[in-house]
Amino acid sequence: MQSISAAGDGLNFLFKCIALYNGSSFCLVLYLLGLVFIALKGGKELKRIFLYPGLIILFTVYNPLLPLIINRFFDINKEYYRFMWIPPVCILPAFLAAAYVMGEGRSRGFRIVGFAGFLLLFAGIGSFVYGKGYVPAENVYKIPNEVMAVSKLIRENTDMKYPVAVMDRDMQMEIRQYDATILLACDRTQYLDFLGDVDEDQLTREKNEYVNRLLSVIAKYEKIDKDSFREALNKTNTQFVVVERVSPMLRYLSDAGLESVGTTGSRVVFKFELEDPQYLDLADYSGVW
Amino acid sequence: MIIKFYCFLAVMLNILIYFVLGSLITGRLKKLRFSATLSLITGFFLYYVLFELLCIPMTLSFRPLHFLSRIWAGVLIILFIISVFMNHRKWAVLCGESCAFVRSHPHFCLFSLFLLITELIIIIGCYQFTLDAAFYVGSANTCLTTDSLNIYNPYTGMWQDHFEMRYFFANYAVNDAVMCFLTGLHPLVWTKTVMEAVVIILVNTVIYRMGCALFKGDTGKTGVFMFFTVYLSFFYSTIYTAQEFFITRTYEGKTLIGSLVIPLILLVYIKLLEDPGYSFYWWLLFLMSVGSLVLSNSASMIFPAALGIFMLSLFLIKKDIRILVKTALVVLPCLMSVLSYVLYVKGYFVIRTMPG
Repeated sequence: MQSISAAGDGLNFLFKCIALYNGSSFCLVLYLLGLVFIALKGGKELKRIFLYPGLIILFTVYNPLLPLIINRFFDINKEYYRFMWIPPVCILPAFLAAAYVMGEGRSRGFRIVGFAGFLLLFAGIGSFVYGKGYVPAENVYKIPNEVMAVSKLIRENTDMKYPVAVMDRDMQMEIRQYDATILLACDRTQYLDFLGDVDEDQLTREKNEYVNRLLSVIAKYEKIDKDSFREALNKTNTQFVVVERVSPMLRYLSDAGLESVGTTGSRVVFKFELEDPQYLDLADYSGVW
Repeated sequence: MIIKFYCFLAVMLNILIYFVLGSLITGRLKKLRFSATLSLITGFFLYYVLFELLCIPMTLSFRPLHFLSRIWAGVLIILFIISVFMNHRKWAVLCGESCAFVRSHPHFCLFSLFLLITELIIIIGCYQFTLDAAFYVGSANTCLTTDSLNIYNPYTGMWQDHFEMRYFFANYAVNDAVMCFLTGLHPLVWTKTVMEAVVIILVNTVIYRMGCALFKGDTGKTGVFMFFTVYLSFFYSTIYTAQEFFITRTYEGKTLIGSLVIPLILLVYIKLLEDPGYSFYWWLLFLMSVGSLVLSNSASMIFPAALGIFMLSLFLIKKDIRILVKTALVVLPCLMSVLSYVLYVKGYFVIRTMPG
């Protein structure tokens, strides 16, 4: 929840959080209706199981003051939504539906119609997790074949045990899951902060200077001075640059002196001849052990 | 096909380990009947608590992953032998009871199996892209590749001069790396197939027990409840909900907090309503408290909040101050974790990755 903050939104933070958390789904409404039903019709046991904790949840997790109080001690802007995992939003409606459909003395026909009715209701009030399509895994590793192809291309074109690379965002996030011997010039936070134009303090800006130059080219398609780009590659020991085939920077990278060593389905792998390559190896702990 | 068979064996191995470990505790209970599902759930948390007790000293002494893996394998084998020695009679009785249950409730068993297999096929068969996988899977692969414990940055692979305290206690990914070392499976296969299947089985086990508790063992109602719960989960989907995490980010430690730990707290709460003084459930909560920290650092805030809500309700119902005292003791590990992180962020201490 990057777009909201307890300090900035004040009492509205919670309501914005609820809106983002639930999206177009009305399961929370169903849960609240379930609590009302139990309050009105439920027995003592059901009230103890669902209603009392439910009321405490309403007065705590769903209290607009709570995030503001917590935020005085911890930065919870991005993670307050996890407290919304606490109410049994799916369990309570499912329980009431099952109890209703399978109640004493129900005929077989009633049960079938009731069962189908609840399936329709649940589907109608929710948003389907695969609503935008179900993408089957391409292989047993459950990553795109392309990641494996890029890894192979890098391995075939380097004599380094631990080559350093910089890549487009999606490839950057997946390559080390498959091949952890490929090192990356920048970490996830640096990458996402750069893409999100997060303000950096002076110290961080200086620390990230070379990485930011690389990302300007790879992620923001900025045609910075080529010498400056090459300097950033040398300073970060970055030997490989992986960009999408549709990237407008292909020509720029060639002009900057990088050599295309191969293409995969939608990626181009460029190699840069480092002026002073550093052959990285693992830290030596043999003396410690 | 062979790798899928290995995955199946690895899933069964995990389930067996949890069951055997859990039996060490549940097999000693006087009040409760020996239960396979309760042993499985208890064993899961006991497994991660024991792993943490071994992993933290190894990390602090900069031991390599292969060393931890071999010691851990040894510990598991010893505990396995002890559990066989202590529980084999109970397991034999349980086998008989389970067979009788299957014979007397064939439709329920088939329906549950069908539901579980359908979930496994749909969830595991899907391509899952999340930015956090760069940590959860990347961390396991980095530990495995570098034969080290949290010393290298999982995002870049670069050496870190100090341990990142945010993840210091959350060694779920280190366990993945250990199991990859022991089984020879690739971290992607282990996390995104084997552990996904394990998590789906565990979550369904909790839903099953929840149904049994709510419907007093009525299998017909429990079956429909299980189906509705799972079905509704597929429709409560934004990138933030616990249900979405369960379906699309099953391999992440924090998924277990939302999908397994919190429903289990509710289940334990239901049991404590019957007998708030029963010590086993408090010990289970303590195991969950420590075990959750191993799964994800998010637990340090969410677990105390969730437990606090349900136990406050229990206190208001039972009006027994001991409930609050026990709750405070149970969440103590989580609060200590928060404290250590705050002190680290404020610059009071740092743990270097190289001695001297």
